Amino acid sequence: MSSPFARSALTVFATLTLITMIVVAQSLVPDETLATQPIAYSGEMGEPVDARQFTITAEKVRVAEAVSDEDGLGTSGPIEANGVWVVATVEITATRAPLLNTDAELVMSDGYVYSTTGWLSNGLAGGFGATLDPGIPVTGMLVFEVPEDRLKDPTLQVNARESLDDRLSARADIDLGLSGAELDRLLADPEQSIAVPAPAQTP
Amino acid sequence: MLVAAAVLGAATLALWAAGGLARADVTPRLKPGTEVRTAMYTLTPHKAEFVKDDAGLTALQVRADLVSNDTKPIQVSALDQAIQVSFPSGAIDAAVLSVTYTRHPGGLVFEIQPGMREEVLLTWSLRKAEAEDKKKQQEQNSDNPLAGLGGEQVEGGGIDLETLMETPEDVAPLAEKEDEVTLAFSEMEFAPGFTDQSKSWKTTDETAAEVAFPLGQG
Repeated sequence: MSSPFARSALTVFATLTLITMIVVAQSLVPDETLATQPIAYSGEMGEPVDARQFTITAEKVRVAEAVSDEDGLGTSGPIEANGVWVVATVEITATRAPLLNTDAELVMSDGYVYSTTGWLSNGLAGGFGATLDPGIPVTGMLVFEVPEDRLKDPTLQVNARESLDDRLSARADIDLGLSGAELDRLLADPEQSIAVPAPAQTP
Repeated sequence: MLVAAAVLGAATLALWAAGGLARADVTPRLKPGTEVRTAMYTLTPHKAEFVKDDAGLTALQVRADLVSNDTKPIQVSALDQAIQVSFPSGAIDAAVLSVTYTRHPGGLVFEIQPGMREEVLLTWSLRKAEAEDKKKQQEQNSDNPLAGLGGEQVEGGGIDLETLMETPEDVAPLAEKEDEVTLAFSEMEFAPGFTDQSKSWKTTDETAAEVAFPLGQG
């Protein structure tokens, strides 16, 4: 039989250990934002990315000083950028159900995030958007305004879903491959202006 | 000793009665053109004036330089919560904030992108201030999910939708009497909500600064 002192010491030790483990376990519980963020499926520029709810291919990325709507409902003239416009052409196809809301962000390697402009009515996201019917591929442009010095190895994150609620929705993360010499080349000689056409069914 | 204690007590009481023990107002009162820095944004307000909005109603417009201090886009609705507009008369309330950039005044801005300094036009729609007793009544009805939408309360606690759809009354006659407006900039924190635990920008009890502007008709 162990002494009463040893039993008390063991009890105190076990209690402190359990309390410590509870505190550590509690600190590891993800917060609401992290626990319900969209589920990401990664891919590369030019290849189809299967995000379960939709598939998407980033076909081309261009950089321009100005953008405008091509025969759109938006403002008439080209809009100059406070920085540069980054315009990504994508083909996107809903897989199972009509997707009513499409959002996109450009996430830089240093963590800075830019959302699509709302100034163009023809943008695939951010303007009037487009409903994606299952099995019908749609091609459109995602347009971002970014300070030149913030454009660093961007990842295009596209989220298409059935409702406004984006919690636990599907998201495609596409590495645009814009870094180093390729990025320098685009920034050194940006296009003067890009006319953005309305999203349309891919021929 | 007793006399000294009594004198000290009386002096403290007199100091309290005169308001000397109240917490000092530490909110900096700045002049227009001075930079206001919060965790969420840095804003330099230059000028405030009454203008006519697209609907022909009198609105308050503030010209300012704005840059986000976040690394992600900030919703304009968060900026709306961050800035409180008050007129000394108390006769006009600011309703909804809309933001445009002077370089593209035709395009409404819904999100402030990070690291982009812009000259902005902050435009608040205005309405006649509600009477205090009506405000209190609405606060008492705060458990009503329809409270806060505006419109007249009808018997049974609902909202008269017809009054909600009415064009708001122009406050031009009241605006003519105003010669100053004060903007109070709340300090902000990125924190989870009470019911919605996802994190977003929220106001704190602290005020980063107050700026008073002389007013003119635009």
